[in-house]
Amino acid sequence: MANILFYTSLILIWLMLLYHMFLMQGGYRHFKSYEKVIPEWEKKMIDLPTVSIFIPAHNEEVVIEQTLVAMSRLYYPKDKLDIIVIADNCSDRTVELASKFTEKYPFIRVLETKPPNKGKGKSSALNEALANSTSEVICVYDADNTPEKKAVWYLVMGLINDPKAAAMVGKFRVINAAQTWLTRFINIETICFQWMAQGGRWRWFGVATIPGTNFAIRRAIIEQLGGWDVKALAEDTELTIRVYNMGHHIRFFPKAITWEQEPETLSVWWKQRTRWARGNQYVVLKFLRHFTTLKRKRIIFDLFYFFFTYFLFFFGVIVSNILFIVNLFYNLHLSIGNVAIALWILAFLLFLGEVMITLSIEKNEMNRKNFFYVIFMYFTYSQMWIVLVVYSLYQETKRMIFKEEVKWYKTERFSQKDKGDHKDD
Amino acid sequence: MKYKVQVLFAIVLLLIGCVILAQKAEAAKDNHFVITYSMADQKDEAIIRKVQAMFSGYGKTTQISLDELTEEQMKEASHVIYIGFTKDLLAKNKLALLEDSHLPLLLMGQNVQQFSAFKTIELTGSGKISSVNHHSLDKQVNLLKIKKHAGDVKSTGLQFDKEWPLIIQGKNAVYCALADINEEVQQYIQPILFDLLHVKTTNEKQAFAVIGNINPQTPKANLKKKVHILRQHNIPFLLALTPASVNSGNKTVVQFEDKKPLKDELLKLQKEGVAFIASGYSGEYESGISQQSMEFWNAKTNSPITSLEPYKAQKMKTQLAFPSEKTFDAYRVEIGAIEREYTQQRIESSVNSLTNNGLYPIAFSIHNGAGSSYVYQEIAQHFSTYFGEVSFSDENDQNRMVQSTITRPKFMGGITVYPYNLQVINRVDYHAAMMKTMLDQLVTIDQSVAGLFIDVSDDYKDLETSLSIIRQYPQFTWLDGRNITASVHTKHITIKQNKRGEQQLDLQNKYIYKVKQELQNKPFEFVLWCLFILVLLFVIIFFINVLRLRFTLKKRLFEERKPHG
Repeated sequence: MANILFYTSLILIWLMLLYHMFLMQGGYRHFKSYEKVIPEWEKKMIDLPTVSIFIPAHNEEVVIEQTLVAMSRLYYPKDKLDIIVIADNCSDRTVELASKFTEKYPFIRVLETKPPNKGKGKSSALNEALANSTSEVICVYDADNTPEKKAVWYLVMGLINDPKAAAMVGKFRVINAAQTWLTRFINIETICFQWMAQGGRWRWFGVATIPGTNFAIRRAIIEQLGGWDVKALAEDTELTIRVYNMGHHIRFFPKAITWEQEPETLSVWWKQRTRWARGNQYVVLKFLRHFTTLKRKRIIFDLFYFFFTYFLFFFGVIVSNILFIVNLFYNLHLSIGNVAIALWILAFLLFLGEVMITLSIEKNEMNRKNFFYVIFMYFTYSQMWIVLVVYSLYQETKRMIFKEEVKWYKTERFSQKDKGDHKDD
Repeated sequence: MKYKVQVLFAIVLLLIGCVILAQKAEAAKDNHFVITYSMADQKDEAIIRKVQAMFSGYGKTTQISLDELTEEQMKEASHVIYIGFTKDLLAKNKLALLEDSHLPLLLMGQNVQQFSAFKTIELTGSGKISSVNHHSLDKQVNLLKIKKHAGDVKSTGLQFDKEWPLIIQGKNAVYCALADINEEVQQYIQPILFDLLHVKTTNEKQAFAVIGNINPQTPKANLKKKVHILRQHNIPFLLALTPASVNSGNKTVVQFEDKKPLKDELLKLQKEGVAFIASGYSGEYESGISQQSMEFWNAKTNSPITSLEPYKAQKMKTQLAFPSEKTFDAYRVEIGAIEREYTQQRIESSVNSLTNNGLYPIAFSIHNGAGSSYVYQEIAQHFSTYFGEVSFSDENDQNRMVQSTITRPKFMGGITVYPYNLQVINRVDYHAAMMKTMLDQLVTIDQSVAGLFIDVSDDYKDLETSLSIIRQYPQFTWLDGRNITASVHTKHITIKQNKRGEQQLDLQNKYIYKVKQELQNKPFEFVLWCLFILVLLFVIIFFINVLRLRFTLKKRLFEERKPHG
């Protein structure tokens, strides 16, 4: 029995590792080629659509000012821009600080949510803004985001030049990467996620996921879909599936860059990532149950990838860890020889190699300090994810059994005074 | 004058002595036994094999049915043995061929009355005897009861209270009334027969010791202890290795490479001059089933192996199930082909597994000796030397026996067989008295060999006692396994050993072969190693790329800085 479990976990882990190895190569190829289309695409940027930028904000006084400063500098015709700060049940100075910008910039306004959308979370706030705007294209940015000047320009460029794309997804960077060891880890993680998972999947399969910020979607599409799902904790993933199911695709265009703040303490990180994990688990289970009715088979593959990641892969890692610990005290007569240790070491080296190549894509990220952080990260941050996934699965299961209401956790913000490395291109 | 006569007489005596010695030496090489037979039943084949094996230790043997016997063959013979287990009348010309050869003639069987030397013999059925020449037998044997005869009785057998003639000397012929032979009886009658037939022999007697049942799960300490004891007694020895063992816990196959300390010990012993015997591959046909550890015989059905897959194997059909002998023979050949294929696979696996670990066998053995003639013939294709018990019947495993000499049985493809006729004493079924009885018997047989089989798990005190008993017989010269001329030949490996102990190895396609064996024995692990190598290549490429990027990025950084100074 121990042998069967061990071999099963080995297969699950290595399928995932090999798949990521494959994705990483796709992501790197995408990096080498994605800018080549821009000169041609620029030529079509004549008749620009109107754009609404939704910024859901709940008690964001710490970060809203810098966000709006960045918004005010966006490279886009201001007469076609409609920046909406969606003040959702704010009890701090968010509205007051945002209002200062509305006085100065006519294209920035504040929209306070009203019942039934008030205080119900990000999805409800976005739906409120959807109902109160008319632009052809909708961009969404989190309140802690400071997009680069041409972020929106590039997102719209993508939509104009790829008429079949329902949405355009940009890249996000960590503004407070140098702040703590945790933010360094997150910085490495986000670079890897975007270039491996997003870039790799786009390159090989033409699939990308809406990340919740720094993306543009056509109004017609979102209206057809009926807006955002208020029950979903991961509304971005949920929206992605529905967009694909309509028969459209989402393009990853990393030229559009935004800088966002990441949690600086473990407790904040834990709460945020638990919400994400639960959200993704909810989405996977929601759609996999009805996978036979899904129109785009490509998304089934992607759904399976999420399922594999959150359920099977972590199951494999947990089982192999348990077997390893038990075997230290009680001989399980595992028949596998030294190849298991060899593969364990190789998995680590593979992780290190892949991450370093991915970091090389971003300026100044491939350095000696990050090299050691990656090594340290493998044994700490990556293992924390295992515990987090198990915890989130437990929470989600509890919610389903006891039919608990979904509670939106709002990520705490930290005051930033140029604490990260961020430069415009 | 007187002095000259004395000198002349001495010279003549010397010359005569030389001639006699020369003749004896010359004659000792000259034994050529023609064993001819008439058989009504397939089951009588066992006795023919045993007789042939018995004589094969003393010279060349030709085994041929009476119908095929020719005059040319008789011209080359020094002795003729006829075994006739049929009551049919013999052809006159064949009868004349045997009688007119004027060669020492040994007759066995039911139609002896056709021979002039035993015209008057009257047989009255058969019976089992419990002693021979007043020596009790552990196992009774069948005897053809002679009611009336005119010869000279040289040996008798006892049935209840009645003594029956066992060996009768007639005019230029000897009759042996045995209808069956086992090792005990053979030891009693062999000296008598050889004396009556004037078989040329030498007086040398040899002994050898084999430590066997060594498999990957053998504790190293057990082996070291046995080796130490034998070395203390200055006794050379061989090691019989079974390269694979099924772990009783998780049913996985364990090999010597998985047990490094034991493997290192074996390599050390090999370097010190110890010879190895390949004792099967895993010791079992079907793991976990056989109590007797039979690898080349189906212990469950007590029949030859009929399938390469144990769970599909059925009992081999007997001749009774077939309408004719011809159809049975065809069926037997089919089964024989399966046996040969199976044996070949096992031999290949065994030799490859051992050689992959740097252990080079020079002989083969089957634990318990159970196997059919097809198995042995396949072994003979690969090995020149065999150690252990031999089964003389293809029908069942009840005809296993060991000879008292080194033999070359024809049904085993002429392979040289070194018999295990001694074992370490124990308190259960093999006492010191039994060992002494055996040794006493072996001493009476010219060119006998005392083959001691030591199980590696035997009690070391019992081993000490056994060796002390053997050493009481200084007639036996200990044989070193490295002084045996032997050869091993498989698809990819050839091992040759000469009398000086020099081994010559020829390994073809060693690495491809090793890969194939890994794939066969541990397929999943093999796949994982392939995965490891593939991914390692990628990882190396990744790291080379990382270094390349690092250097190019550094260069780019410096270039970017220049315009800004």
